[in-house]
Parts: sequence; structure tokens; C-alpha cells
Amino acid sequence: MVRKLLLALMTLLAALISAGCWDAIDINNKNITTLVAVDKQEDEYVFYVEIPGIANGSGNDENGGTRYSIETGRGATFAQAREDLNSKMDKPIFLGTVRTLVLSESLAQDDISKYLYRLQSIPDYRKTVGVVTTRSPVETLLAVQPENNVSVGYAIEDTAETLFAEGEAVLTTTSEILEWLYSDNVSFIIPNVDETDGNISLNGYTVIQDGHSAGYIPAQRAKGLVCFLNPAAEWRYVVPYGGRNEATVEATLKSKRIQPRKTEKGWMLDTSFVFDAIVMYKDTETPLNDNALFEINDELQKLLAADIETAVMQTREFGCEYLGFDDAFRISFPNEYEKMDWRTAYMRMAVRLSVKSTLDPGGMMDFEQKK
Amino acid sequence: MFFILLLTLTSYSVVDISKAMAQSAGTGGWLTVLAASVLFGIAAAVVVSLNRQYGGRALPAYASDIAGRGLGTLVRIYYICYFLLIAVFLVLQMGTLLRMDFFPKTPVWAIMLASVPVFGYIAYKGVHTMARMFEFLGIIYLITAISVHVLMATQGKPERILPLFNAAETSRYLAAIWPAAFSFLGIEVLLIMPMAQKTQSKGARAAFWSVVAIGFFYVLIIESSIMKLGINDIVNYNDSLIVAIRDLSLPFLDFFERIDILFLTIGFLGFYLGISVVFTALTEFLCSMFPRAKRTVVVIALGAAVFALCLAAQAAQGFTEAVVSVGTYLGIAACLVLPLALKIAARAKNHGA
Repeated sequence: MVRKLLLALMTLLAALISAGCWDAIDINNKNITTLVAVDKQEDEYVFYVEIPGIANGSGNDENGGTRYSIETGRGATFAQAREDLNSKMDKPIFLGTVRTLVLSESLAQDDISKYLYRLQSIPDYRKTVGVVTTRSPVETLLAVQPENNVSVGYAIEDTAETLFAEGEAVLTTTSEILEWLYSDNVSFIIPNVDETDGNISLNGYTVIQDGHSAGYIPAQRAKGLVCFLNPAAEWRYVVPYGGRNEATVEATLKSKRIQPRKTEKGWMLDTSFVFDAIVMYKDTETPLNDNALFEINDELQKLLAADIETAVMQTREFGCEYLGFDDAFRISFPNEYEKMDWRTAYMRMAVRLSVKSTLDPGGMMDFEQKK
Repeated sequence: MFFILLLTLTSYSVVDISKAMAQSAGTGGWLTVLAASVLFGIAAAVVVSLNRQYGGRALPAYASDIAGRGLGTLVRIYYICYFLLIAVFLVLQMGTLLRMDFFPKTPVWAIMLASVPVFGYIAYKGVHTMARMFEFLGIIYLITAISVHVLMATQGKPERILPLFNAAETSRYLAAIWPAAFSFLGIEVLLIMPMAQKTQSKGARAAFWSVVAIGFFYVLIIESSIMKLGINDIVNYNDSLIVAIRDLSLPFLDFFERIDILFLTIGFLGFYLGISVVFTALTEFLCSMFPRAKRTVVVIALGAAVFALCLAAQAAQGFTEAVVSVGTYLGIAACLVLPLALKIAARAKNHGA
């Protein structure tokens, strides 16, 4: 009898303990956050958080969509800014749902590392959160009404991920930035998102060195950069051929190889790119003959090489390397890498580029048909 | 035997082995771990062959046969003290880990108070029941862990674990065997494993290959965690495995996107089972020391002692660091030096006879 009672008591205790999130807070009683933006205004740090009005189902707008509110907190330190933010909230913030971290241009010019190190120790924050910079005033960016009636945090994440999946952009996460910040002499880029004509657009990349902004690359001049950093880079080029015709060609990165080697004149970074290309459209009814195809492919290779060379030239211009040459060099020559000041050494290294493409005349179209 | 070794060795080690290896051996940590697994595999084979020599019985039963009553008792006391230290360390780590990463408002003592009776109950049931349970739960643990880490590797960056080998760092790889050794302590639990007659002949070989297989399992954990977090960042986290798992997602499964829940369930199951083995070992040694005492009384006394020692250890400064440094010496004595000495003594005794 005693044994049975003991067993029943233990079962009851186990059931109570197993279901024992006694201090759990209902989702309606938390401020679920979808975006965090950090700005530096003069001597103050400013936090912006985007919060969907889902509490008690009260946050819908007139169209039935979720309404998002923006709350701010400011202070001379991050801690004070957070306290200020907390004092304006009726519920505790939950950061586990943040989709995007936005760093303002002024913060990037000051120092982003302080905030990233702070973020590292916040257990709620996921390290896979996408990070972007913005050159627009933060209030302006957060005031955008995204086309699919989602939050700005989700809209920025979706925009960046869509462009990345299509091979037209580079993504950066907090985890990657932390790894780079802890590595000596490593520079990196962060996608930049601005408000353009009332929309959100990924329109460039901020180059970060030692935690500060070292330059900016507009998206129009970042095709080569994307070829280095997105393994599925894909670009379309309008290629002239035959004197007055043009073909639109899509080039998809097939492989990239960086092979460092030592020459008599110093270090050389042999870099080769291989693309698969396809003729998407042509502007004439004339079929594409072998000569035309050869000419298109040749011209495409020149255009690709020019973009990739631009990316390398930009690193020289900013005085820092963020194209992944450091990893290739470290892997091939770990002992030499350990001894050298990579940033200085890279500026003296020669980069030899080789760009090859294989052209498919037309995919499902028969552009070679004879009349 | 494989699952008992797996769950005992990996119970806590999986949480911080990636950090320890990244710190001490860099990208060549995999080689260090495999070298350590071979060394400890040999130790495991020695332990099993010792049991085999005594008809498959466990050490508590034959220690006095080899070393005489006095020395045999001393050997058993050593193992009791050692396992007690490890039990306190593991229970405290488990409580701290749960509090820091999952239940920030639950006091560690409450977690320990809820856990110790579970370990005690498993220990009360004895080695055979525990072994049967491990066969079933070990498979779940192994399949889940391998799946999670393969997924982690696919979401990580391969260049972060390269170069795999750098000849100039060979001495660093070898020096890192010492910190790696802590992750292999636990093979001494084989001393309490009585072996069936029919499996005795293959036991030593099975023990060796089991430990080597665990070495490969560790390599998967280390490499996938470094691929996910990076070798410079991973050293900042005490619980590198949990941080890496938290960053993992299954984007193709909307209803199960975040899989850190797997560590909270299956991962902690492994942790619990690992601690249960240590409790069982302690119970076996204590029962052999006090043959007249009821097993229930031994288990309750043991649970109370472990809980009290955990509270004391929690209040003490630097307990964890001390166990990691001193525990490695004590563990090597327990799993390598003492079994080898007993093996030699047994052989000498046989020759003498």
C-alpha cells in the first residue's frame, strides 16, 4: 500500500515537474519583435524595434492585416538605450523572432562591433539573423509599407533572401560577422538596404574593416563582388555581336577557384571562374550561327572579366580584402598566413584572373534554326 | 557495450568538446581526437580483458581476488571517490546547463533535486536493466545526433575546418591529446559490466572499436560545430554545441524550423543516461563494500550524498575547472593505470600459482 502511494506521489510529482513552465509568459503578453535597428545620433545610441500588434488580436489594420508599431529607446550607452526602450513597453521584449538587424550608416562609421558583441551574449537572439546597413534615415526605412503587407523586418529578409537565391546578392548573418570580428585583419561586407521611391531596395554593400565602415559599393558595381561571394551568382548581360545586333545572355557561376602560389616576384593569387551561359533573347530574326555564338561568348567573357576585375580593384581602393582570398591563402599556406599581416600582404599580391564561359545557344529556344 | 560507452563518454563532453579542440588543436582537432580514441580504445580493451580473465565478473567482485583484501578495498574506495567526483561534476553541469540555456529562472538545486531520484532509480534497477534500456535509447540518441550534425555540416562553411592537417602543427595536435582525454574518461564504467560467457572472447576487440567509433562521432560533432560557428567564434561559448544547434534550422519544414528542441529532449536524454551509468557504477562499488546493506538504502544514501556534495560544489569557487584539470589525472588512473596494474598483478599471480 505504502509502495503504491509512493508511486502515485512520484507520478504526480513527475507530471507537475514535466509540465512545469510555471514562469512561462503567454505569447500575448510579450512584445514579439520582428526587426531591430540600431542608430547613432550624435552622442546617443538609438534602438528601434518593430512589434506586430498581435496581443489580444487587437493589432489589425482596416484591411485585416497585422499592424506593426515602431518603438524607440535612446541613451548614451546601449544599456541606457535599452532601459529607455523597456520603460516605454507595456510588455517584455522577445528577441527570438527578430528577422533583420539594421545598422545605420552613422553606427557603421562609428563601430558596429560593440553592438555585435553585446548581441552575442543575448540568449534570445538567433545568430542566423540577417544583418543589413542603411544609408536612409532609419525612421524613413521603417515607415515603408511593403507590397505584401508584411513587416519591414520580414520584407528586408525576404528581399535579401530572394536576391541571394536568384544569385544577385550576398547575405550576411550575425554569426558570420562575429566570426569575422574575432579573426585578425579580416574585412567583410554587409548588404545595404535603403528606402527608394517608397520601396525597400538592396542597393549596395558597406565594406567593414576593424568594425568601421571603410567604403560603399553600389549594387550596379557589385556584380563581380557577388560572383566572388555567392556560389550561385547569376547575371544577365546584353552582349553586342555582328556589328549591330544584341543578345541577352544569362551567365550562371559554375565554379570558382582561388589558388595562391609563390612566384619569383612574390605571391600570386590565381583566380579562375567558370560560367554556364545561355542566350535568353536576341533582337533579330537572323539565326545565330557558329561565328555569332563564338563572338557572343567571347564578348560575354570580357564583360564578366571586367566586372570581376572591378571587384578586385575595389579591394585595392578600400585597402582591405573581403573577397575570400584570405581563406584560400590560409588554407594553402597556413604557416605563412600566421606570420604575415594579411591586409598589408594582400595589397602587394598580384591577382591573375581567368574567366571562361560555355554558351548554350538558346535553351528551349532553337536560335540556330535555318530558314 | 557500445551504447553504454557512447552515452557515458559523450554525456557532457559533446557540449564543449568543439570549443576545447578548436582552442587546443585548431583545425587539426579531428586528428587529435582520433589519436586519443585509439589510446583509450586500447585502455578499454585492457579493462574488458581483465573482466574476462575473471570469468566475466565485474571489478567490485574480483578486486580482492587480485590485490588481496586490504588493497582490494583501497582500489574500491578509489573508484568510489572517483565516480562520486564525476557524478557531482556531471549533475552540477547538467543543472547549470539547463539553467543557463533553457530555464533561466529555475534554480540549479531544483533541477538537481528533480534529477537525482531518476538517476537513483535507474541505479537501483541494476546493470542489466540499464544495459537493456541503453540499447533502445542509445539508438534514438545516435540517430538524432548524427542527423543533426550532418545537417549542421550542410549549413556550415567547409573552409572553416581547413586546412585539415598542417605538418608544422603536429606538436600542437599531440599536445592537445591531454585536453581531448577528458572526453574519453568514462571507459572505466566497463569495470562494473559483467560479461556474458559467449561474448567474452570478442569483448576486448568490441570495446576497442567502440571507443574508436566514438572518436569518429566526436569528429562529426567538432567539425560540424566549427563549420557552423567558425573557429574564432566558437571559443567564446562554454556550451558551443548548444549555440551551434540553436543556429540550425530546417527551412523546408515550417512546423519544425527550429530544432534546438532536439537537444532539450534527445540530447539531455543522453546526458541523463550518462549520469545514470556513473550512479550505477557507484552503487555497484558501494554494494560490494557494504554487502549487508539493502540496495535501496545504498541508493538513497548515495543520492543524498551526491545532492549535498553538488550544493557544496556549487558554492565552491572554481570547482568545474579543478575537476577538468585534476579529473583528467584521476580518470587516467581509473581507466588506464589501475586496470593495467591489476592486469599485470593478475597475470603475475596466475604465473605464481
